[in-house]
Amino acid sequence: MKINQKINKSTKFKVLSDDQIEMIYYAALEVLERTGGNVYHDGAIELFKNSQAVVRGNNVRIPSFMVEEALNYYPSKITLAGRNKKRSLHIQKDTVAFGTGSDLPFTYDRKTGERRRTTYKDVNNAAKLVDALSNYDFLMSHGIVSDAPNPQTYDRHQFMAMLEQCTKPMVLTSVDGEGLEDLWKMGCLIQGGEEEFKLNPLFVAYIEPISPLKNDRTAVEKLLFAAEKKLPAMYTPCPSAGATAPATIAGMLVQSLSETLLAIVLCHLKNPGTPLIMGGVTTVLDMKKSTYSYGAPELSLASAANTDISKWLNLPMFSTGGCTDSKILDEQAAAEQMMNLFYSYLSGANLIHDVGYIDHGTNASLESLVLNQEMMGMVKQFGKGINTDDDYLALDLIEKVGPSGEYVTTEHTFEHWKEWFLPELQDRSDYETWKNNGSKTMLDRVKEKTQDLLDNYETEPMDEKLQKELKDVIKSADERHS
Amino acid sequence: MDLSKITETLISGKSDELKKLVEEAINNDVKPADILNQGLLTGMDAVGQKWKAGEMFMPEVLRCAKAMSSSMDVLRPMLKDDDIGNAGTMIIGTVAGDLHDIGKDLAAMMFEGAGYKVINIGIDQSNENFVNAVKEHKPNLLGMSALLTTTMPRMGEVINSLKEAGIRDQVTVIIGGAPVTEEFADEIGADLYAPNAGTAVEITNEYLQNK
Amino acid sequence: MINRTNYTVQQSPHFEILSENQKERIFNGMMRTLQYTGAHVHHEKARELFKKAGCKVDGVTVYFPPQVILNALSTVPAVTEIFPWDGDDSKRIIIEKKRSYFGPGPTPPNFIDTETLERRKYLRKDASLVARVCDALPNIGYVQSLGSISDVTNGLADVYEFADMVRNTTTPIMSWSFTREGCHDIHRMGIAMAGGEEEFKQRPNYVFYGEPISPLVSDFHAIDKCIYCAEHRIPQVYSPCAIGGGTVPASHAGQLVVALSESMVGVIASQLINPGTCVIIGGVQSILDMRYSVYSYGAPELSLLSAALTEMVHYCNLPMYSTAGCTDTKKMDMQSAMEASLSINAAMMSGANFVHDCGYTESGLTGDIFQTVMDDEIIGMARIIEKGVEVNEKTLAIDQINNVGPGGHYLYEEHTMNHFKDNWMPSLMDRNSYEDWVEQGSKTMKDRIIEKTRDLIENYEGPRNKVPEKADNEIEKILQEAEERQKKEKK
Ligand code: B12
Repeated sequence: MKINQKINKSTKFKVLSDDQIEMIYYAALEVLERTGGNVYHDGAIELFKNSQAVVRGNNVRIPSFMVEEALNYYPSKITLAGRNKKRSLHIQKDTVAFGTGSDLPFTYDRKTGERRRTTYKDVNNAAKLVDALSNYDFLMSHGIVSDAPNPQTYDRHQFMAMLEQCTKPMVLTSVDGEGLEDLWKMGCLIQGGEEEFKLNPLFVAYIEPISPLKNDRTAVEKLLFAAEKKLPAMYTPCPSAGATAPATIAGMLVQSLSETLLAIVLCHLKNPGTPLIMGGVTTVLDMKKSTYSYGAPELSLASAANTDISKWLNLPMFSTGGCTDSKILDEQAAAEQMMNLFYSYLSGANLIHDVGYIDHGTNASLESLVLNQEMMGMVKQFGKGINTDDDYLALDLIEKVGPSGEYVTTEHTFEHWKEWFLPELQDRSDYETWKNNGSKTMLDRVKEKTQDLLDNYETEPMDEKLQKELKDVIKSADERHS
Repeated sequence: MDLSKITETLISGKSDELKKLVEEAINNDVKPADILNQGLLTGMDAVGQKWKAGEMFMPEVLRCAKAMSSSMDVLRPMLKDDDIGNAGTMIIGTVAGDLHDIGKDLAAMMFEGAGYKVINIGIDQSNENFVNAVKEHKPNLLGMSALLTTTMPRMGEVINSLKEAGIRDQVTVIIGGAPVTEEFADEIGADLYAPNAGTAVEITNEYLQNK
Repeated sequence: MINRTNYTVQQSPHFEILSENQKERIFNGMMRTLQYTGAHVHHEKARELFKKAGCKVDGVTVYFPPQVILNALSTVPAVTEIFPWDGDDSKRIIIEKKRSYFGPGPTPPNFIDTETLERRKYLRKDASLVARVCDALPNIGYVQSLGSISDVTNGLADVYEFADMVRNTTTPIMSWSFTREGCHDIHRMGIAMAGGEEEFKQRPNYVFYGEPISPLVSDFHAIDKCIYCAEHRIPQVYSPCAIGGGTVPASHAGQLVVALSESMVGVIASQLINPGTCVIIGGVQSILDMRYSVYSYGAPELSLLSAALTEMVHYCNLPMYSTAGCTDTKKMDMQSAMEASLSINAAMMSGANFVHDCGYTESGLTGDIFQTVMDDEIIGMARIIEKGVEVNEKTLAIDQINNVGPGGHYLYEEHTMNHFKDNWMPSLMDRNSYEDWVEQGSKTMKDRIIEKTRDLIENYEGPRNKVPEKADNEIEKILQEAEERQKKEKK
C-alpha cells in the first residue's frame, strides 16, 4: 500500500480564487456601509435602531463589524426529515441535494400540448413524481395551486397537496408571516410537536428580498418568524444582471451578497443562531427579448461562483439547476438543463432547486421532472471521479490479458461494470433494435414513464387523523380570510 | 435426476458447479441429449429471454455462456450427431483488412453459449483462410464480421470463393458488424444477418429449424 | 483606486478530477505496463527502431524501459501551430495546454441527408458540405469529415475527402488515411495549398489522425503512417478508441493506463524518428453498454474518462485529442442534446486541445451536420463558463450599486451599456416569451437547427473560389495519380 496519498474522491470545481471571493465580500460590506438596504417593516427597523446600525427612514446601513459578529453565529449544518421521519437531507459542507422549484403559474398540459393554469392536482402529481424519482431529495411545489378557495391561503393548500403525495423534505413558499406560521404549525403536527420539529425540521422556509437591496414587509415578517422559531430559512435574491443588478457577474454577486448579509444581521438581532441558508437565482436579463433567463450560461457561472462564496463564508447554499428557457421539452430544454445541472452539482451547492422548470420559470411540466431524473443521474456519475486503488488500476489484470486480449469475460469486468451509470431513458440500442422497437424518441420514452408513474406509483399514505388535524389548520385559515 | 438443477445453475452462471452437475448426470446415465436439451439449452433459452427483457446484462450473459461452453466440452464427446441439433460447429472471423475485434468476439461467445463449438479464426482473415477453415472443420455455420464499409465487400468475395470451391451449400453464412445491413446480406447472398450479438443466436436457430 | 498586492485570480474555473498522487499512480502504471506487459508492434522497421533505442523485443512484443519513454516525452514540443491556408490568423490553431478547439469526427459510414433528413450512406458531396458548414460555424475550430465516402474508387475515400474539404474550408483539417500512400497524397495536397514544401514545414495546414488498437497493439499501417508523419513533421494524433469492459479494463483507472500506454508507442516512435515533431494523444474513451453491447458515445463515463485522460496527457506534457458533442441517438432528439451538453461542458472544463466527434450520432455510425450545428451553440455556452468571472473594480460595480440604490434598476446605467454585450447571445436557444414563441410558429430547437443549417448550405459560399488555381490543378493531378495507382494495385 502506498502512504501519504491525497486522493480526489470526486471531481473538483471552483470558479473563484479565495482572493477573488474576498474582494467580492469586501465590496458587499462596502455596499452595506455606504448604500445599505431598505427595510419596510416596523419591527425590523426597531431592531436595527436599537443596534449599531444607522437608520434613516427605511434605509439601514450596517457597519462591517456587525456583519462579522453575526456571521459567527450561524449553524453550518441543518438536517431535514420528511413526513416519513427519515432524516434524509443533510445540509452541510460538500453535500448536494436536488429538488424542484415552486409556484409556476402555468402547466404544460400533457393532453392538449398547450399551457394552462396550474391546479391542486398538478402539484399533487408533481409531488408524487418527486417521491417516486430517486434523484430528487427535496420537494418544492413545482406549480402553484391556483384553484385554492382564496389566494391569501393558497400556501396551506399547496403544502397539503405536496404532503399527500410526497414523503420527502420540502422547501416551502408562503404568502406572508401568518402563512408561514400556519405552515410551521402543520409541520409541528406532523413531526410531533414544536420541539421535535426543531430537531427534525420538515421544511425550509423560502424567502426572498427584492433586488436591488429592498426588503418588503412580508419577506421580513417571514424572516423574523423563522428567526423566532429557529426555523430553517433561506433568503435568496433573484437578481437579473443588467436590470435589477449590475450587468457584470461580479457586481451581481456583490449586490446579492449584501442582500444576504443584511438578512443575516437582522436574524442575528432577532435571535442569534437562526439556521439561515444563502441562496440565489443569479442570471441575466435577455437584452433582446427581455426575459429572465433560466438557461443562460451566465446562470451556471454566477451560481457556481456564488456557491464558492457561500463555502468561504461557511454558510449552506441554495442554488439553481435543471431549468430552461425552452417552452417545451426539446433539444434546447435538454441542453440547457443538463448544463446548469452539471455546474450546480460540480460546484457543490447544498440544495439545487428549480429542477424541471421550463419556459424561463413560468411553466410546469411533469415530463420535465422525469427527464431530469436521468440527467441528474448522469451528472452524479460524472461527479464520482476516478478511483485509483490497486484493484482499479488493474495492472495485474492488464499484464494477464496482455496485448490484443479481451476484457469482457474477465471477473474484473463482471465486478466493476456495475459501477457504471445504468440508463433508464437514454437509448443505447443499435439502429435495427431501435427501429424494431418503434423508433421512439427520448420524449416518447419520457412520456411513457411519466404516465406509468402517475398510474402505478403509490406514495406511502398519511395518517388519517393527522390529515384531519392539518385540514383543520387550513380551514381556520380559510375562515379567517373569507 | 432432476435436470432443472442444471438449468438453474447455468442461469446463475456458476461454471465449476455446472460442470460437476453435468458430470454427475453423465455418471447417472442420464441421456446426453436430455442433459443438453432439457438442462442446458433450456437454461440458455431462459438467459436469452432475460437478456431481451433487460433483466440480464452482457457480462452476466457471457458468464452463463462460458459455463455452458465448458460443460459442452465434457458433454460433446458423448453426443451423437443427431443429438446436437442446431448446436453444431461455427467458424467465425473478421474479414481481410479489418482489425475490429470485439464485436465479433461477442458474437462468438454468444454462439458458444448456445452450445456451438466455435472456432474463432481472428481478425484480418483472407478469403482463402475462410475457405480453408470451412474445408478443414466442416462447420454448419460460418460467421463473418466487418466494421468498415471498405471491407464489407470481402464478405461477398468469401461467399463466391466458397461457391467456387463447391462448398457453399455446406454452410449457413451469417454476417454482422456495425455498417452491415439486411439488404447488404441479401445482396451478397449471405443466408443471415444479425444486428447484434444478442439476437444472432435466435435468428440462426430459427432459420436452421425451418431449413 | 485600491492598490492590491499578492493577489491571485482564477482566469478560468479550476476543474480537476485527479490529484497529483493519482496522476502519478496512473503515470507509473503506464510505465510499468510498457516495461513488463509490453505492446505488440506489427512493423519490423519500427521494432528495429525501438530495439536500437534500448527496448527489449520478443517476437512482435516490444518492452519499453522507462528511460525510453521519458526521453521521448522530453522532446515533444510545448507549442505547435497549425495555419489556415489563406493566411487568416483568426483561424490559426495554437496547440498548447488549456487551449481548446472543437470539431467534428472522422469516417462514420452513414450520414443524415440534409434534405430528406433520412440516414443514408455518406457520399462525396457530403465532404465539401461538411467543410463549408463548419467553415461558417464560429465555435468549430478545426474540421473532420463526419463520414467515409462510399461513392469513389474503393481505397481512395481518404484522399478525395481531403481534396474536397481543404478547398471548402480554411479552418484547419484533421485528415486520416488507410495507408502510407494516402498519407503521402494528403501531404502533397497540404503542400500544394501551402505553396511549397518549405512553406508547409513552416506553416503546416492540417493535422493527421491515426489509431493504435486496444489493448496495446500497433498494427502495421498505423505505425507506418505514424512514421511517415514524423519523418515529414506533420503534426499527428495517435490515439485509440478504448472500450471499457471490452478492450480495456472496466475500471476507469485501468482504462486510462492502457489507453496511455498504447498511445505512448506512437509518441516514442515519432520522437525517435524526428525529435520535436508534434504528436497528440487521447482518443475515444468510453464503455461498452452491457445491455445492447454498443460502444456508448453518450455515456457520462465518456465525459469522465475523457476529462481524466486530458489531465493525464497534460501531466505528460502532451496535447490531448478528446471527445464530445456526440450521442447514441438514431434521430436528433432530447437525448442528443443532453448527451452533447454534458460531454461538451466536461471537455471544455478539462481544457483538452482538440475535441472531436461534434456531430457523431448513433454511437459513431452516423454523421449528422445538424448535430454539429447544435453542438456549435453548446460550445458557445460552455466558453462562457471557461472564461470565468472577472473580478475588478469595474466589474464589482460598487459605485453603480450605490447610484442605483435600493429598489432602483440598472437598465439606464452606462455600466449596463458597457457590459451587457459581454453576456452570451444565443443564436439557436429561444428566449422569447411564450406568446412570442407561439406567434413565431412554436418552433422546437430542432426546427431552428434545420433552418439555420439549410440556410448556411444554401447561402454560405465558403472559400472554394479563393483556392489558388495552381493548387487546385495540383490537387486534381494528385487525385488522378491516386486513381491510376489504385488501378494498378487491383491488377
Ligand atoms: C473501437 C473501434 C476501433 C478500434 C478497434 C479495436 C478493437 N480491438 O476492435 C480501432 C481503433 C483499432 C479502430 C480502427 C479503425 N477504425 Co474503427 N471503430 C471502432 C468503434 C469506435 C467501435 C467498434 C466496436 O468495437 N463497437 C462495439 C462492438 C461490441 O460492436 P460491433 O463491433 O458493432 O459488434 C456488434 C454487432 O455489430 C454484431 N456483430 C459484429 N460482428 C458480427 C459478426 C457476426 C457473425 C454477427 C452475427 C454479429 C456481429 O454483434 C456485436 C455485438 O452486438 C467504431 C464505431 C462504432 N460505434 O461501431 C469505429 C468504426 C467502425 N471505425 C471506423 C474506422 C474508419 C476505422 C479506421 C479506418 C480509422 C483509421 N483512420 O485508422 C481504422 C481501421 C483499422 C482497420 N483496418 O480495421 C469507422 C468505420 C467507417 C466506415 N465507413 O466503415 C467507425 C464506424 C468509426 C467512425 N465513425 O469513424 N476502430
